[in-house]
Amino acid sequence: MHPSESKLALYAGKDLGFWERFRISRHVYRCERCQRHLEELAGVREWIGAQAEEMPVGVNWDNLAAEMRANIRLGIAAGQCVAEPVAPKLSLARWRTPALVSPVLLVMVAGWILLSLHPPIKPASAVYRHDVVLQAGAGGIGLEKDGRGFSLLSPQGEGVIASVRGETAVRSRYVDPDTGQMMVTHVYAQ
Amino acid sequence: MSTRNRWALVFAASVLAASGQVVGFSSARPPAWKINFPPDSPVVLVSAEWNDSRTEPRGGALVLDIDSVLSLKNASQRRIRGLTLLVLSQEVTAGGKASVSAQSLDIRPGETFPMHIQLRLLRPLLPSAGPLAQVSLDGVLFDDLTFYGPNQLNSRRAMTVWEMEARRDRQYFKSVLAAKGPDGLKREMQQTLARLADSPHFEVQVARARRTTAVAEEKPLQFAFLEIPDSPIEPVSGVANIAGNEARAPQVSVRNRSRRTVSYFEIGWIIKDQQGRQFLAGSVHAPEAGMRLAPGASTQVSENAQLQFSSEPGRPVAITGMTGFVSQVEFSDGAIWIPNRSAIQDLVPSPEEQRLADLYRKKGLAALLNELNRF
Repeated sequence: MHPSESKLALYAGKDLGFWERFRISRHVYRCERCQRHLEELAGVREWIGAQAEEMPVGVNWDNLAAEMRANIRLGIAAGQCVAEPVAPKLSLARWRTPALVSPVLLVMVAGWILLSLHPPIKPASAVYRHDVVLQAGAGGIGLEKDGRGFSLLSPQGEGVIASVRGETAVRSRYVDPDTGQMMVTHVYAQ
Repeated sequence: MSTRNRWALVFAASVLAASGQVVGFSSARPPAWKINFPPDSPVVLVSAEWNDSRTEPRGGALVLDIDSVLSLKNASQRRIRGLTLLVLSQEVTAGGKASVSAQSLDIRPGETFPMHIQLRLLRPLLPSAGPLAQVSLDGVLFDDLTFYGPNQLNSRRAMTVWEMEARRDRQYFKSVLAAKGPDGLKREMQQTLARLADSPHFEVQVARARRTTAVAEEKPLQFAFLEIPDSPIEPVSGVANIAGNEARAPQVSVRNRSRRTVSYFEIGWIIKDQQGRQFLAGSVHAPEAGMRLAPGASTQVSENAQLQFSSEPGRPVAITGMTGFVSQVEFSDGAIWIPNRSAIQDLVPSPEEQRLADLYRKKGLAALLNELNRF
């Protein structure tokens, strides 16, 4: 299973713990899709970096960051107490609002870029509501009728390959872990 | 009635109700499973373990969790290569009919072998005098490709195709062993395991198509066909209506380019998503009976089905391409054609390839060599 978008973003920013980072790096090594996601995230980071270079000079960014952290933890009122500005107070106050707003804007821009690269797929209309629906996947074979779902087969074997056979049957094949036999199971809608 | 007696009555009723619940719907009551093999069956039942099988009411249905190991004996004089069992809880109820097949077997005369049945079936929650589920024999395939059984599920053809594919693949791996030695065979197995691991996992839902008019976003998408020069059937064109992650009403036109009458064929159906990943979605096939496609004649087959694809529940997969290939053809004399390995080796590993790779992964090269030498 692919790691979530947020996990990938944290991984790209080297913000994950050791084991999580190790697990995701193993997955990414094999998964082209996640490699592409990481490249996109890297692109966004570069873009953010480029935007940061265009920001006005003369601002003490370390202190600004410290203040933002304090604001998050203690609230804006508390943040006003703990900040230790070296720059004139008036100047820092002028940048407080952009500093708070810009991360939100950056997230929105990053989301817009990702969505434009991979637009969400609109699921087809729910035409099956009152029909018998057969389902097949790595988890097994299932059936849904009148909105109620049942799992009909969840083989314990590894490497389960499921497919549809015609319009009324689904098929699942796997190697039985106990006997080593290649098993093929069909479930019929009628 | 005194208060004490009243409490005693309530307690007794509670115990009875609780025990009724357990006896009626849980594993405590021996379920009424029946195994029904014909008297002249080449396979006989030695024993059956139903210990892990359960029944449970859910809504208006009774869910039968069948997890059983049958011990069967080859009572014939020939080696068994495949076996299909029909499992019925109620034929008229959706989800009440299933089959379990074991393939690539090598069961000698007199040998006993296990058959694992792992299924969940449904039946109406109504009192019935008969067994909850019946297991019967649909067919046995022998090493000379002869067949025994009622063949209600057309298992003769299915098992013959699997056996022919298995022989083709074993022959291929034997030739690799002869040409490149054990290291070459090892590399082949590692490549197969890598392909299996890299195969994208998708979920597919299928239902009978009820809609007869196209929705606004629905567009026809043409099949691209794999060219298999020696195929008796030539796919001429194919199309399905696509809307997002849904494919509806696939149709394929074919021509019989052989000199023999064709009675059945199947077209494998591969779906491609936005990332270019491909997976075997299923098959479009000719009618199970009654077709006679003369040499040079053309026909069209279609499925009245709607299929929806997702990478996991709730994550639809957009369909951007479809590939079809002729996966099997049956002639009117019962002979069967399957594609050669080189034509389809880049597709999903075959069942036999999957089985041999699994054996190599779990037991090593020596076990694989022994297995190849058995056949």
